[in-house]
Amino acid sequence: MPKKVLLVDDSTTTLMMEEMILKQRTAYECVTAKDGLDAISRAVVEAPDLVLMDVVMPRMNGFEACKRMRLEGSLRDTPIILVTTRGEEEYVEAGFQSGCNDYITKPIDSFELVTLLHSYLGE
Amino acid sequence: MAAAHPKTHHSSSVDAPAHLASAGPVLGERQRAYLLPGQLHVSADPCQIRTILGSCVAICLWDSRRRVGGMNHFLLPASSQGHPASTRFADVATRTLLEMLQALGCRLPNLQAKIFGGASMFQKQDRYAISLGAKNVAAALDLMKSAAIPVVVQETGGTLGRKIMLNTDDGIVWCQRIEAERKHSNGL
Repeated sequence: MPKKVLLVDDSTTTLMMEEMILKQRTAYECVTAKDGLDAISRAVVEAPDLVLMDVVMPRMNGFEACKRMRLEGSLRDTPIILVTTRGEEEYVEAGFQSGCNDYITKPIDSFELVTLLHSYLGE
Repeated sequence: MAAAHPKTHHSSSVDAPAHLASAGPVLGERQRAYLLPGQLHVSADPCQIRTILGSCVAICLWDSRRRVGGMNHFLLPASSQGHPASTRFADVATRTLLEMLQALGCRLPNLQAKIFGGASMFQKQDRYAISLGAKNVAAALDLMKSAAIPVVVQETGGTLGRKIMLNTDDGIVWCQRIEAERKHSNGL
């Protein structure tokens, strides 16, 4: 059974790009969500093996969604990688404080993304 | 003392106590630089170089004679075929850091290294060993061994992100693990 990755971003273009990278270069199954609130409900239902989540989104940002996922018993240990355009110190620190496991910065490099995900999920 | 002095040999934590860690080292008259993944910085002038690490690794190099230092921040253990050489890889980032320090008059025999980062969510040793964090740490150690640069501090592994601050004038490095806030926050 393929590993499942939940991709979260309010940009349809970014979601398509991430999905394309993973479909071309991995065997992971992708599911998507368009903001933090949507991500939490999708994660509870889909039980992904990893969450790749943008930070700046409407309704609920990635930090808040990350914190709330950590309070969900089923998601407490799910790897969460935040994708940040704002690589500033305060943003990155807030990401780790919210409970993420790692972060990558935009623009996303496909090789780096796949290597990082392989590290968590295996090939 | 909250920080690891370069003349001391620590193999484990160099974390500041909680009451000191939040304040961090004094910036004073130092310049300040913040490294994103794939960036590096050296300075012959007093400078505080900062970065935040997850599975990435930072090598801090310091020349005690010239009192010059620098830091890199790499994401991946080795450059690969078909991918452009980049300071996002350990080998290129470290070679570039050494070249920049040598351009400032540093000599390899006078350098010492402190290595940080390489976290992984996997705590069991067999699973950690194949994680990206572990591979980055192994790459850093191999590169320092190849360059015959002693590693005087290594604060690596574990499951938490780290905030790192290097003072280039005295070689002191602060390392603070970033704990997740487990309390519920209000509002949607």
